[in-house]
Amino acid sequence: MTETAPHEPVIEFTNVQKVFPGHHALRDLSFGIGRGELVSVVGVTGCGKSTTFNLILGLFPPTEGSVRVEGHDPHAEFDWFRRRMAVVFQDARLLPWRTALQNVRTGMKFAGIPKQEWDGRARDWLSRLGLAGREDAYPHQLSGGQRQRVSLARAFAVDPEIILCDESFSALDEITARTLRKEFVELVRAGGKTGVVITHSLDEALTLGERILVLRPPGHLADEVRVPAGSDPEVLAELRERLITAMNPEGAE
Amino acid sequence: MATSSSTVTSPPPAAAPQAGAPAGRKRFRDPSLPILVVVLLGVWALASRFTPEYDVPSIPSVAKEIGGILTSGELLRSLFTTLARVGVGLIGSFAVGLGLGLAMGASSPAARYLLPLVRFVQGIPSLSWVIIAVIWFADVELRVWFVMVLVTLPGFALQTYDSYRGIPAELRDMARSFRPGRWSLFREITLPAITPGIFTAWKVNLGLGIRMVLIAELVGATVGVGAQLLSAQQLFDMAAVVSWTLLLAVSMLIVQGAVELLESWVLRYRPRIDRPGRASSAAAPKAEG
Repeated sequence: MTETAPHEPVIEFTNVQKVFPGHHALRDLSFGIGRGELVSVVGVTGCGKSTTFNLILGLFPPTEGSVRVEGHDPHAEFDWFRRRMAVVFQDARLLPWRTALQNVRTGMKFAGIPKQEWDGRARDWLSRLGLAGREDAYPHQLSGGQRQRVSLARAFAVDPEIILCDESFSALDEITARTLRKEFVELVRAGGKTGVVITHSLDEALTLGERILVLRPPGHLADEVRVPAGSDPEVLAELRERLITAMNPEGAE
Repeated sequence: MATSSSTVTSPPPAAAPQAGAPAGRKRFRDPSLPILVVVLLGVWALASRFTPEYDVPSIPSVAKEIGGILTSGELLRSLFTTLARVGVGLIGSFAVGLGLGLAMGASSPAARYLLPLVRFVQGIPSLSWVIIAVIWFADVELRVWFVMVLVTLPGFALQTYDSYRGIPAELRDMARSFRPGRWSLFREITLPAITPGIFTAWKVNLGLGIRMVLIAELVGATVGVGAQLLSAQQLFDMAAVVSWTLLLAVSMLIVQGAVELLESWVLRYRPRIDRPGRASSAAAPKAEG
């Protein structure tokens, strides 16, 4: 029971296999993500979510099949994706020796953005994410939620076309996570970005994703669910049940 | 736990960078150091009353000797020459050790060949290097420099290597996700990550260097604290021995203090660790839960 992406595909997996020594992480995974879409990828532990994430990021090549992002190979053409892709990790991964402002600037430095733009962009994004006045704070002086806001600012300041989130909100308390998810969706939509959110939380997937890809071990697409905008709780509950069934490694397809 | 900017309680932004300042002032108010000095001087005064001058010289005779050294340009030159030898030796050793440590950290083949070599050099007794230096080099400065570099090099190399290996993979992956150039990666991740280890190596090697330089100077040097100590020993001038030793030890304490000040400034981003039972007045407040 699958629905195809309506947009021009930006991320395309075609019959992708990934084998690590002694472990078959992905077996025949195919899907497409369209430009401007916000897609969640869910699945139980070991279903290949992280492998999928790292393949999009280009950290390693697939064993078989093809991974194309913007029509390019993210591993072979790693540097081509500079400024085109940014990541928000589960833990904020801020440099402890840099202040909030400097951390956002460092992302731009890494991405090769002209130096004269660093300060203005960094202040602007910190301010948009509610951290005006905290620019000079070091990471240890910030709470988990604030650190993740800096991490979001660092990713958005690069102005990438694709934003990848790897369990970005799962380490936060539910109230903070809910606020950040909402802000994240607004920022992705306002900027016309393509967003891919890897998560193990169904509630997060239902909140964030316009479309949800369900992976099931050993790394293949079990289902693909579209979440209608403004769905009422009953519809969301039904979708939740459908996701649980699809995720279950023991369940029938 | 606040979730938006409106509920964030903002502490003064500069709270942590200045966190070291109250600690510094506190140290000066701490009476333990003056008490220790007074007790040691008391024990010394007592010991010198009951022992001959050539065994334990009196405080006034040592004070006079130190005054003489500090007002004599030639003698003062010995002190500064020795300190300069330590400095030049350590800088040379640091440059080579840093290069070796980085090479071993960045390349597994380099580590396979260099690590056993560095560990082997670390195991060679310092005195062996002194003897080898005497046989190999006629020039005294070269001898001292050679000994200093070889004795302190393993510390710099191994500390750099360990610090390099300790760089969190999460930070490297984060940086890689932005596709940085090599220099940006080195400047923003590698260098700051290994800096605390480099400071540790400097502090350890300063002590080691000052002990080694005297041994190296005993062999052939005509200028320097080692040469002055040798001359004092030949004259059974215990006041001079104590004076030179004290001057060198105090100079080293000052240099160590300067290094620690520099360290606390460079590493000012680190949170202060308050000991249990002490008020954490300088601890940075957090805005959210």
